[in-house]
Order: sequence, then structure tokens, then C-alpha cells
Amino acid sequence: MERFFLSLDAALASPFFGISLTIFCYAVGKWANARYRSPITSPYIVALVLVVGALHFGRIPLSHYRSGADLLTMMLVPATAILGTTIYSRRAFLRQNFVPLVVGGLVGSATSLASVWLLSRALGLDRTVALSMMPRSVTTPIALELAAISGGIMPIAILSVLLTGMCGVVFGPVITKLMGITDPLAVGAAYGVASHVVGTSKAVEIGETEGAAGSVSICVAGMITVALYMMFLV
Amino acid sequence: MKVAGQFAILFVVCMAGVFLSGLFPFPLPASVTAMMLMFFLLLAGAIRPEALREVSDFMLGNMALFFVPPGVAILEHIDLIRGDGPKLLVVCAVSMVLTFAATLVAVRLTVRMLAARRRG
Repeated sequence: MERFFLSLDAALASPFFGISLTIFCYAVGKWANARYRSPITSPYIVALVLVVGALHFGRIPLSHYRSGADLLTMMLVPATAILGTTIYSRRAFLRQNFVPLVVGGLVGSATSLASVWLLSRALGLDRTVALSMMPRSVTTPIALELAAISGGIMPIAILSVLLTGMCGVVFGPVITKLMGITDPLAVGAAYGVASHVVGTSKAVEIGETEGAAGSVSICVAGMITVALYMMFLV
Repeated sequence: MKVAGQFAILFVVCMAGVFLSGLFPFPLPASVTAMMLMFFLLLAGAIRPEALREVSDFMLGNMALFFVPPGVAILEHIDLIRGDGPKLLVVCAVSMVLTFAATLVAVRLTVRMLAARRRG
């Protein structure tokens, strides 16, 4: 019997466990999302809850999960690199709307960085916490690398990116309505700059131009945020 | 083999991104360098878009999958976050609203100004 538990533990500690558990839970999330359309059934949230639940109720140490999950985390760089193909396929759109999109990215990124810094300091949050939160409006891999460069706290950086994406989905429609702006380019850019990939999924739902402006803005704002953040650190 | 080859191309671009980032005198995220490199390689015709089709469709359609492990990692540091949690939420929400509104207005004004100049 002891041998049984030892082998089981070895199996769970192998990289296969973390990878298969994550992919399986994500697949359930995709299925749930196709079946019940709601922000709560986003594949990401479902996957997160299922993985955490499985680890908790199975009493499986996080380090076991990590040995496989780290291989998926490695994929964050390729996941950002692949965004280069998005800019490429939308290059005509980018050229056509270059000035407004860059101005929007610049103003938005500057507002984001400055407001996070000022708000965190006003609320008495630590300097390290503030620095970890500042890149929160860009996509996770970029935000993580920026937070790492400044010696930030990774989980806080990730949490801020997640919260920002959810806020984008929830508040985006309210703000556009209150401000009475329907210009598809402006709406799409606002989602892309302010709430990265998660918010842009909302822009894609609204319309074709909104979605295009959103996806291009993720990349534009990503690059601008990197530049501004580095300048802030110096 | 097709998909493996596509992943290999993607990974080589990422590797080149890490290399290029290292050349700069200041730290630069390798993911951003790789993203720009990918764009320029496609633009220059060094990579055909079809050469990455299946992998890019998969990655772009399931981006969130790769964010699951970092999300789970939040748990490990739950004690770090518990105290500051509400403050983090306030900062993220207020800043997101400001950023969203600022971008909305900036793009709108720029479009109008460009249109006015073209007419004037």
C-alpha cells in the first residue's frame, strides 16, 4: 500500500500532472463558456477555479502542480510574440489609423501609469506594490517582465492585470454610454489600451472595427508602456 | 510535423527576441522584442503568414490557457495580498476608468483634428 501512495505522489509530482490538469480544466471552461455565455463562465475563470479546487481538495502541494505548469508559463513569451502576426494581418488598418491609435496609446498608457502610481501612494501602498501594479493595463507576459525588471511582486502584478481586465469588461460599456462616444475606433482603442486582451474580447463582440482597433491597440500600448515604464524607473 | 515546425519557427523568433533584448544597455522585455521581430520578419517576407497559421490560430484563440498557472500562483502568496486586496481593487478600477476615458477622448479628438485639417 505504501508503494501505491509513493508512486501516486511521484506521478503527481511529474510535469505531466500540471500540464494535463491545466489543459483539462481550461477545456471544461471552454465548454462551459460555449454553453452558458456569461462573464463568470469565461474559460479562464472556470479553469482557475477548477485547478485551485482540485489542488485544494486533492491535498496536492502547489510545488507538484508547478513542475508542469511552469512549462505552460514558459509559453507566455511565444504568446506575446504571436501578437506580431496580429499587427501584421492588420497592417493596412494600422497604417490608415496610425496617428489616432498612437496618440490614444500614448495618452492612455501615460494616464494608466501615472494614475496607478498616484493612487497607490495616496492609499499608502508600498513602493514595491505600486511598481508591481503599474504595468497592469498591458497583457500578462509584458506586465510580468516589466514587474520583474523593477523587482516587483509577481502575484500582485498578475492580480492587477486580471482585475483590470475584468474591470474593462464590466465598466467599459458603462463609460462609453455615459460619455456618449460611439466612434468605433475610439471605443476599440479604449478597450485595448485600458484593459488588454480580456477587455478587447468585449470590443470584438461589439463590432469589426472595434475589435481591430482593440487588438492593434494592445500591441501599440504594450510597446509604449514598456518605453514609459523604463523612463519612469530611470 | 507541420505543427511542430510552426512551433519551432515561433520558438526561434522568441530566442532571437531574448538575444536582441540582451543587446540593449537597459532591461527590455524579451516578449516585446520578439513581438516586434515577428512583425518585421512577416513584413520583410522572411516568414510567410501561412508558415504559422495553425499555431497562431491556436495561440490567439486560447491565449488565456497560458495565464492559468500564473493565476494559480497568486494562491501561494495569498497572505501578501489579503491585507492590501481591497486597495488593489480600488486602484485597478479607478485607474482603468481613467485610462479608458482618456483613450476614448484622445482618439476621438485626434480623429476630429485630422479630419478638420484635411478639410481646412
